[in-house]
Amino acid sequence: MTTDPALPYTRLDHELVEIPARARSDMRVAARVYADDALWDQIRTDRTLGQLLNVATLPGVVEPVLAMPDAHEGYGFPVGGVAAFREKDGVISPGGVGYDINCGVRLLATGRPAHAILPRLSALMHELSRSVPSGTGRGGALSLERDDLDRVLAEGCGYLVERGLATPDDLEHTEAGGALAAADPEAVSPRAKQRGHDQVGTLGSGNHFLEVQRVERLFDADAAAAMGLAEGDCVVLIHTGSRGLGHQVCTDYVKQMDAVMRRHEIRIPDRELACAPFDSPEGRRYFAAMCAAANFAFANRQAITHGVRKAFRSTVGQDVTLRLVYDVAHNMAKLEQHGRQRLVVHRKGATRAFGPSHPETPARYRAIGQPVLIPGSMGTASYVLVGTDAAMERSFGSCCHGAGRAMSRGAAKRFQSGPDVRRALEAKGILVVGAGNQELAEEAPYAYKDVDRVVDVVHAARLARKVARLVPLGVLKG
Amino acid sequence: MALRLEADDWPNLLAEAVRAIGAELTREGGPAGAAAARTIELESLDREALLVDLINELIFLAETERWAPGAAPAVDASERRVRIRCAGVALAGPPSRIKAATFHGLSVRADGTGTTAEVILDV
Repeated sequence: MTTDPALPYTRLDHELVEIPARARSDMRVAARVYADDALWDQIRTDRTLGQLLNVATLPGVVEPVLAMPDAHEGYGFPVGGVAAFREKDGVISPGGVGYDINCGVRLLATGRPAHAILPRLSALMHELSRSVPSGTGRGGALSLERDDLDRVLAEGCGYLVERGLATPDDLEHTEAGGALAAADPEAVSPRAKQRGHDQVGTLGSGNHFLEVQRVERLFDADAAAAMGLAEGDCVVLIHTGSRGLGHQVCTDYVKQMDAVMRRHEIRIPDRELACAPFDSPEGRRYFAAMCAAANFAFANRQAITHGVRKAFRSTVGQDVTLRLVYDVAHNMAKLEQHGRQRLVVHRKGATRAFGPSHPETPARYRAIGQPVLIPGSMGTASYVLVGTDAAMERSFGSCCHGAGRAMSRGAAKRFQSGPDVRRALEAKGILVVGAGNQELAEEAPYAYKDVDRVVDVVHAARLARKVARLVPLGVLKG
Repeated sequence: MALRLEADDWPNLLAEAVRAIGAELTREGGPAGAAAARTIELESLDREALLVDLINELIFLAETERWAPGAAPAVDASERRVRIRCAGVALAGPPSRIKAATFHGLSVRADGTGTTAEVILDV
């Protein structure tokens, strides 16, 4: 289903389009889409804009609702969507966060040139596939009893310091220190805990991956130096989230909110937008559960980091250290101060991009802004950027989260077979492990938008600033 | 992933959903023999929610207990309630694709010729 050709819009500049609040009678605020002409044409080919306008109808929404250049159709909210709601009279919606709560990315710097790693790449990828289980529900390095799991949900990465799987430096370079204080393990259902108890340290399936990469190009040498990145260096990018636990939290609360909306006199145009006032028992409880699931995801990426460090030590050298550059979420709702307002900012497939002057930007990055990590599709480039102070004004401190799907999984499978995709990647010198043929076909590079174009729009729109372009050497697919 | 279902009536449509999801979960997890029969009872707000809840229950059982429904479920259903008795298949591993049933684009329709439904599954 494509966008209504009669939809009114105004192109405000080369990277920004506005859809006025009068576009639909039920819209409360205008919508803005960060896209150049080519990406705008792509975004109009599915239900992304209709979903964005649906979000603009929700109670307490603050102008404008936003779509990033990688936006595409999601469940209820579009992926690549950002929407802020007033704390006092706005809503919180599990669909505005997504099923994979705190799906996110972390970047590890080896401080070694990629050419020094390449002779050991095959052994390294094999060891990584042993250290980091992939696929749904595969047990991880850290199977947790109930009390331990509750501590992960409450304390996130902090608990893993105690278990020897994290360092204080890791915490300092993780969004929110790897633990959201509003988390309450009691708000997470026993079913969610049952799904998650053996999944800490696992990659999962779908579009999740772990890549060994090379820093191909620097755009900002000073910012790169602050992050400890040099051209030609080997780095590791980890993309995963809260696994079955996060999915169950979302499922549980979509159902609960679906049941209470009438009592709160909330009407929504799409049932997947089920929501409750943030300042209600249901809203507060979902927020507490979501924060707990987010802590689980931070811990998951941290436990994977532990496995990656072990794999490097055993195959590359005992003296190799992998320093955490940053870990940032792209599926989250957070209570933030924007100007004079306290807002519940939903970022679904959108990355927080705070600038240098924001107090939450880690001390190491105060001069440059918070690192923003943008994974490309499998086998294409990824990017390191930094947040800007302008983003606070233009996008509630947010930017894109990846390339964004351009083709459904079914269409991608019909386009090229898995073995053909593998051969194409290997022809480019990229070693792929852990993926079945079906997953390879579904996640092939042509199924996604052009990540270079997406990042160029974000950079030109001053939502984030380009620092480095990364290219894959080896891919471990979930 | 979209699941499109057709049946003579609502109870048979739910039985069809159990069969279809069971087949997919078994294919993904890999069959490892027979498992004990199980009774699933659910109550939801309406038909759409009941269908979503039923599929989510099957996903949960497959992921946590490695149990998938067999081919011939006995279904007793009203608009908001369902009771299903079903033989089981033990799974060799947890299924690797389907993570949740969603309300996105969900439709359940009945007319003189039968009942149809479409559910989008998060994969």
